[in-house]
Amino acid sequence: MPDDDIDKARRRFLQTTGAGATLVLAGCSAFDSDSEETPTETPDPTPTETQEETNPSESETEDPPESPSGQVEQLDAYPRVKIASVSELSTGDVVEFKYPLQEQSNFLTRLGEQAWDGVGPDGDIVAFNALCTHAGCNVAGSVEPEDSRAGPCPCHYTSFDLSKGGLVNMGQATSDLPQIELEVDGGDIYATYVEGLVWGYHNNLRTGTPIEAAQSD
Amino acid sequence: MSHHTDVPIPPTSAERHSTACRYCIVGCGYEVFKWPVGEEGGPSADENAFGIDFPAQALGGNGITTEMHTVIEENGEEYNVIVKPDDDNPVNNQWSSGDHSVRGGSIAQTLYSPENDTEDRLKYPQIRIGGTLQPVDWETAIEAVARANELAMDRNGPNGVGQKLYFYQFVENTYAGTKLHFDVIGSPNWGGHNRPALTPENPGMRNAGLWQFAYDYEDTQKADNVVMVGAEFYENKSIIFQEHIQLGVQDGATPVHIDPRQTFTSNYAQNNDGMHLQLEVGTDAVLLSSVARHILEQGWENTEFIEQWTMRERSTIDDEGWYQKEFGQTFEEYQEAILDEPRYKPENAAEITGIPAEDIRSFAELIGKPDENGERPNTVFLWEKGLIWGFSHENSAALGNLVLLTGSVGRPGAGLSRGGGHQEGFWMGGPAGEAIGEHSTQTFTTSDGEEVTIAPDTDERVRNGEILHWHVIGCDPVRGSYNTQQLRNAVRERTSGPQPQSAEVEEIARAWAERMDQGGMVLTNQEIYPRTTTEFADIVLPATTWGEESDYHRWNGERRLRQYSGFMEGPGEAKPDWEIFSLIGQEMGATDMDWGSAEEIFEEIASEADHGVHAIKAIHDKAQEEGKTTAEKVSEMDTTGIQLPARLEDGELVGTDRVHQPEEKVPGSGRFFTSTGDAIFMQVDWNRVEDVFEELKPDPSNNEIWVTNGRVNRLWQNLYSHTRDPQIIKRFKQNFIELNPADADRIGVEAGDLVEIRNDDVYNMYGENTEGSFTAIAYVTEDPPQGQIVPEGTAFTYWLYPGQVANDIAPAYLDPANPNPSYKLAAGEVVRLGESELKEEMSFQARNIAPE
Repeated sequence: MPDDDIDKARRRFLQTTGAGATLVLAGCSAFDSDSEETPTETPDPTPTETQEETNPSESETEDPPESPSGQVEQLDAYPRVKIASVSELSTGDVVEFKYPLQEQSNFLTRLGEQAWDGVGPDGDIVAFNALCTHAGCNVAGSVEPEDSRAGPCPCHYTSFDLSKGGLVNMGQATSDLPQIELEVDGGDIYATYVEGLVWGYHNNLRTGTPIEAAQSD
Repeated sequence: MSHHTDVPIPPTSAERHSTACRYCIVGCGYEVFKWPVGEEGGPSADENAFGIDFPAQALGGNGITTEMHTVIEENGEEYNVIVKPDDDNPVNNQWSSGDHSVRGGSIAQTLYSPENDTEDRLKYPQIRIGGTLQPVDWETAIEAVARANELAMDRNGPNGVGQKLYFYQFVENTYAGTKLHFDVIGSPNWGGHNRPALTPENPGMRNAGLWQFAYDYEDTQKADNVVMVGAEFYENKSIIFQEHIQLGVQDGATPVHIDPRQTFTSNYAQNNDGMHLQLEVGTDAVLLSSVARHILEQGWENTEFIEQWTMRERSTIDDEGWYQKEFGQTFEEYQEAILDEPRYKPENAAEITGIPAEDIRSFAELIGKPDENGERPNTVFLWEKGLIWGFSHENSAALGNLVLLTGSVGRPGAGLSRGGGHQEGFWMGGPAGEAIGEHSTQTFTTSDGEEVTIAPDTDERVRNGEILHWHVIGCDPVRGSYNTQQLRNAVRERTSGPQPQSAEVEEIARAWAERMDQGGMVLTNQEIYPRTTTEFADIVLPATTWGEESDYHRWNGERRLRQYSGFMEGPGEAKPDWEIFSLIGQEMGATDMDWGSAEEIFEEIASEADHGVHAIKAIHDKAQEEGKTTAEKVSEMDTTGIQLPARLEDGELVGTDRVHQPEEKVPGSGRFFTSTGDAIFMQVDWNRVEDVFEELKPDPSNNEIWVTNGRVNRLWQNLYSHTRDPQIIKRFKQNFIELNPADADRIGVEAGDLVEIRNDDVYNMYGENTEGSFTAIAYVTEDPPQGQIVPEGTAFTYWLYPGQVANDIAPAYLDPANPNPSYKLAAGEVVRLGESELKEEMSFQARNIAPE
C-alpha cells in the first residue's frame, strides 16, 4: 500500500486508541508486575515508545537482565528464566515479563481455576505471549483473570481462553495464544519454552536480543 | 500444522500470485507466494519478498502465521506456499493493513498437500458398481452422466433432470454449468446451493427494483446510521466490520443491530451508543412495518424522493409483471395499508415482536426524522440470513420499503446491501426463463385467480419423483436443504434400486433405466471432497477448486471483480468444473462448449456483457484496444480489481462505487431496476403468513423452543475445508447449541452435555408433517459479562455441521409466490443424551464480549 495510506491507517489506529508513536506493541505501564490490582479498565494497547521504558526491573519477582548480550542471529535453545515467585502471585495478578527475547512481551497470571499446563499448588498459574496471534496487538492490558480470558484484543477483538491453552474463543486469530511453559522450583516460577509462534516472528528465537538465562544455581 | 514454531520467509525470487479470499463475501485481497523448499529469504527487508524487516510490525499486514504457510508437492518437487492478506487494496486496508478473518487467515491449511488433512480429496471419477463406488476412467464417467441425462429425458422430458449448483464458485464454472442445464438439457429444475429454485433471495426488494448489493463498503464509514438486520457482522463479515463499519462508528455513526440473539455485534452496538432490537424469531416484518408506520404517522417520509423515484401509477405497476401486480403498491396504497393494519401500531407490534413500543419509535426517529435544517440522516441498511430465510417476501419487502420511505439510497453514506455469505460468481449461461416458462410444473395463483408459472422447488421434485437424474455440484443438499432428514430418506430410497453390475456403459444404462422405471433416481455428485450427498451418489466427478489450475473471476459484496489466480495443480485426475460441464455437453451433442480454458469462457462472457449491474464489456473493449484478453486486463488490476458495473468514461475504464445513484450509472438501466427506473413499494401483509407462523412457533406443551441456526465465526459453510484444519475445528469438534441457562436448567442439561434436538412434527406444506432430529453439545455460559447470547425460549445452533444437521428440523415452508425456504424458523425439544467426551476440552466462555 502506498505510504500515505499506511500513514492514514496508522493515524486512525492511533486516534482510536490514543496511542503513542510506535506500532510495536509491548507492555503497558498498567501491568507493572508489582501491581496488586487486576486492572478494571482496558488500558491503552500501545505501549511506551521503547522497550527500555517498560520496566520489568521494578519487579520484585525478577532480577532485570544486567545488560543485553547484544544483537544475535538466534538463540540455540529456549532458556530457563525465573520470572516470579508463587508466594508473591495472588489470584487475579497479571505480571509482565520478557521471554525469550528482550523484545517479546509475555504475561503471567493466576486464574483461580485449574488451567491446562497450569503450575503452582492449584495448577492455576499460566503465562502467555502477549501479542494477539491475529495482527500482533498487545492483549496484556485486556487480561481478565477472573474470567480466565485475554481479550477482547484492543485492535480486532479476538478473545482467548487462558484455562484451555490460550484457545481462541472468538475472533479473527487463527491460532491459540502461545503459551509459555512454566516450571516451579523451590517456590520460584521459571519460563522454559514457548508453545506456538510469536506473532510477527518467523522464529521465536531469532531476530532479537536474548533474555539472560537463569543461572544453574 | 499446529504447534510449528517457525515459518519460512519467502525469498525475493518467490513467485507472487494475486487473488482474493477463498471464502466470504467480504472478498479481501490476498496474495500467494510460492517457492521451492530449501530456498529461504532473510529477515532484512532486502532479503525477502515482502520487503520488510522481521519481526513484522503489528497491524502492518505482513506477519506470517503458521496457518498461512504450507508445503505442497508438484511433480515430485516440494514448494513452500504462503497465502496472506494483501496490504494494498481498499477492502482489507482501511483501519489496519492486511486485515484478515479467521477464514482467510487459514486458507493455506486447506490446500491439497501431504502436510494437510486433504488426502481424501476426490482424485478419480467413480461409479457405483455392485453397490460400491469404484474408480473409472473419465471417458466412461462422462458417457455415464450423458446416458443418465438421456434416460431421464426419455422418461420425463427435460423435467427428468435436475441440477443443484453453487452460485459462487466463479463465473466461468457457473456459466458452463447453467449452459449445460438450460441450453443443452432445457430443464426448469434448477436449484442453487442454498435454495431449491431459481428465485431472487430478496423478492420484496428485487421485484421493487432494488439491488441486493448496492453499496460501497466505504459507505458504512460515511453513514449516520448503520442498521444491521439478521446479520452478525463481526463474526461473519468480519473485515467489513473491522475495516469499515467500526470506522464509521468511531466517526459518530449509530450502530443498530436487529437480531433475536445478543451477539458480539449487538453488544458492540449497545456499547457504542447504538441499539440492539432483540426481536422474537420470525417477526422482522412486523417490527420493520411498525417502524414505517411511526415514520408515516410523524410525517417523516421523504416525500421528495418518493414523488421523484417511486412508481406512482397503479397501471404502471401492473404492467411491470405479475409479481408487481400482486404485491406492488403505489405510495398511497402502501401508506393506507400500513396505517390500516392495527398490528403495526407500535404498542401492538411490541406484543408480537417483544420490542418495546418506545424502542420502535426511537429507531424510527433515528432513521426517519430530518434535523432542524431539514437534512435527512444517511442510513446504510444491511441485512442477511436472519431476514432472508425467515418469511422471504414479507421480510425483504418490509426492509426495502424503509429504504424507499427514507430515500436513504444511492449517495455517500446511504444505501442498502446484504451482508452477504459467500462471494458472488454466478453467470447465467442458458435460457433459464424459457426453460422455466415452458416446462415448470409449479404455479402460483394470484389474488385475481390467475395461474402463473414459477421456478420449481427442485428439492421437492427430488422427493416426489419428477427428477430422475440429479446432478449436484459443489454443494451438499442433503444437509443444506430444508427438512433434510426427510430429503435424505427420499434420496436413499430413490437411489437404492437396481445397481449396475459392471462398468460397461450398456450395463450401467440398463440398471439405471430399470431403477428409474421403478420410481428411482440416479445421483451424480461433482465435488472436491466426499460429502454427505456423496454417500448416495452413483457417479462421482472429482473437481479442482480455488487456486488450482484455472484463473477465475468473481466479485465481492461491493461488486469488486478480481482474478483468482491458479497457482497449483489439482489432485489426481480432478478437472475444473467448466471442463467437466464442457465434456458432458459435447457428449450430448453441444457444439459450442469446446472451450480450451477458463480464460476463453471469460472472454465469451465479457464480449456480450454490455448492460446491467454486472456489465463487464467495457473491460473487454478496453482490453481489445490494448491488444489484451479481458482476463489479462483484470489481472493487471491485481487485488484491487474493479467495482461493477465497469464503464468507459471518456475512453477510460472506470468502476462504479455504488448503484442506485440519481445519475444513471448502470448501463441499460435507470436509477432503480424496473422498466421505468422508478422503485416500487411492496405490500407487507402479515395475514399471508400468520397462520403458518403460529404453526411454526414452538409448542410449550411439547417443551419446544425456537432452534434457529446460522453461521459462526470459526466455521465456514458445510465445513468442506474447515474440518481439516486442527487449529480451527478444535473450537467446535462437534455441532453445538447455545442455550439460555434458564432453558438448560429446565431441561436438566449443563455445558458440555450431548443433547438431541427433536421435532416429530416438522411443518410440511406439501403433505404430512415429518420427523427430524439432530445432536449437538450444549453450550451454556453462566454469568457472561455482557449478557446471555440467547434469550430464554430461543436456542441457536450451527447450520450445516456434518452429521449433526440443523436443517433436519427446518420446516418445509416456502413462500408460494417465490419458493424460498424459511430455514431459520425451526423449533424443537432439547433432550439430554448424556455427557459429551468433549465436555472438559471445550471452552464455554461467552462469545459475545465486545469492547466497552
